[in-house]
Amino acid sequence: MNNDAPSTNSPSPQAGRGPGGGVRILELEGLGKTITLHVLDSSEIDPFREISFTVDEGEFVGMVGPSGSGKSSVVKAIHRTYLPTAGSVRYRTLDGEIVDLATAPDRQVLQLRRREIGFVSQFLKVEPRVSAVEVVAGPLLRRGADRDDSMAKAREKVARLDLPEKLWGSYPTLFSGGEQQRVNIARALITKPRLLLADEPTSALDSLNTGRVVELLEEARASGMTIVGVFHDLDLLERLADKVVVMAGGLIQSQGAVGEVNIPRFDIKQEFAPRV
Amino acid sequence: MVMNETPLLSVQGLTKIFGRGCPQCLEQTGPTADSNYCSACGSIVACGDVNIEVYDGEVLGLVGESGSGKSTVLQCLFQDTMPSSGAAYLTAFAEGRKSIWEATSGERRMLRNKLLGMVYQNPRDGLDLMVTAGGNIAERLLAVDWRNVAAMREKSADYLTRTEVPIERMDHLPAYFSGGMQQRVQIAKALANSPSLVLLDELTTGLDISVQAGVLDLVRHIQREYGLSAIVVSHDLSVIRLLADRTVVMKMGRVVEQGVTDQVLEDPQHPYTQLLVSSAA
Repeated sequence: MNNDAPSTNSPSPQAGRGPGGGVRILELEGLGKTITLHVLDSSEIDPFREISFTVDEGEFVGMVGPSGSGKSSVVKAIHRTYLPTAGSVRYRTLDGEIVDLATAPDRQVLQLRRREIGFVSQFLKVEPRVSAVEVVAGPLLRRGADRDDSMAKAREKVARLDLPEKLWGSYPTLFSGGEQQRVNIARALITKPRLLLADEPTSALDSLNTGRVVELLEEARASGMTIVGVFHDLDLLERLADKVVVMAGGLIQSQGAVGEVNIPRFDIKQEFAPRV
Repeated sequence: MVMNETPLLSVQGLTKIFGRGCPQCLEQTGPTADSNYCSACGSIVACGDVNIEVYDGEVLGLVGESGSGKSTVLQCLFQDTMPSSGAAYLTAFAEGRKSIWEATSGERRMLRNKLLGMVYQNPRDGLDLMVTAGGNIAERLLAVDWRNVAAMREKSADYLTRTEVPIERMDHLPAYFSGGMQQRVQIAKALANSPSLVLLDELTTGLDISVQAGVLDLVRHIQREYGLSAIVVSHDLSVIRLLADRTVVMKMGRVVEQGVTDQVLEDPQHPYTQLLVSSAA
């Protein structure tokens, strides 16, 4: 494993400053997960093991690897959608407190999600009968922000998504996949999360829509947002990320700055190679 | 970030036994025994040693199959039935120092009419169908000493508007309303008096899918606009996914798992939750 970050010298993110001089805000150490499938004779699977990497404030870390290599699972574990079974995810909050997201109480996880940590998935989880603008404003309203103010901000954001204005008040249930995903990203970005976790936000999109999403992500990054994202498209990754973490078979194969790490190109034959 | 907040509701060791009960009831029942029938004394343990917390502004989901005890928990909280043992502290009641199950009859009235709101699966249980929609709400206001009829009408109209019941139906009997509209009147009634905790028992079960979406959207709307604190009981995981911040899973009267909702639904730990999640379409 190529551990380029000085994490061995500074085990606590408090002390750590990355190469870019940003504060270390995330530090995964020995993170692992074992799932016991009780419905399948209690067989066990390990989506990922011994995952250690660090993320500095303002950094864009891209996760790559073939399907099934565990990259999405790691991102979900940082978000605590998956419960890790080994190791830690030390996150430095805005207040400077270090919280282990792997073991933090549910309430604290929810509070951090509301205030600091955003997540954008592959698809929008569509809420029935909620207008696009309201879907986007949702996270602000959940924070207790003023309604008119939230809606105005949401409209501003939606205006930038190339959605026909007559769709703004309409339900995303009726939108195309690309339109839904644009709403999804806008929703994730509206609160300007400090850390954005992205699980293949562009994988279901055509190149035109991907371009729009990338624009939003680039802008978020330029504003100082820290992003950890899974991307299938390696060209895209090289364009966006500062650092890459390459995974294979649930383990980190290599990691480092873009340009310094050899990112393996996965070909379709390998992707669909027999696994047993 | 300070995390030592006091829960709005703290339920400790809630047990409800139907039958005479015996010291072995809890051992003989539960998910491991795969039964809620005590073979020693023949009692039914509807729920045993349930510990849950609800925080301010939070919606707690309570899931489980029929007979898992989830509705019993709500009925005990709303005092439709009294628990066999346990305590529940509500910050709005006696400053959280006295269990709601030790309330005097006067205090119980206040708990049911003012501090708690209940929405039953069947509107028949929550509404007097032969009293007008407005009258149903006024009943709750009367119970906490509202006396001015004009003010009560105004308040009723306000809540019916919020729950999207056409105001011109205010003086009609809910007996002649559709199921979805009855449910909305029930929600309006539960919310009148601004209770600190709302209990929602299978509120969309039995409604057709477009009406379900309407009722769910209404609850979401109230959640967003007014910061609802609630317990939502449902066997429908999509309802839980949509509404609940945290989720508690029950089986055979016991809590088998709890966590952040998306974690419980996407990475269930307990065998029963895994089965439940994998059974959902």
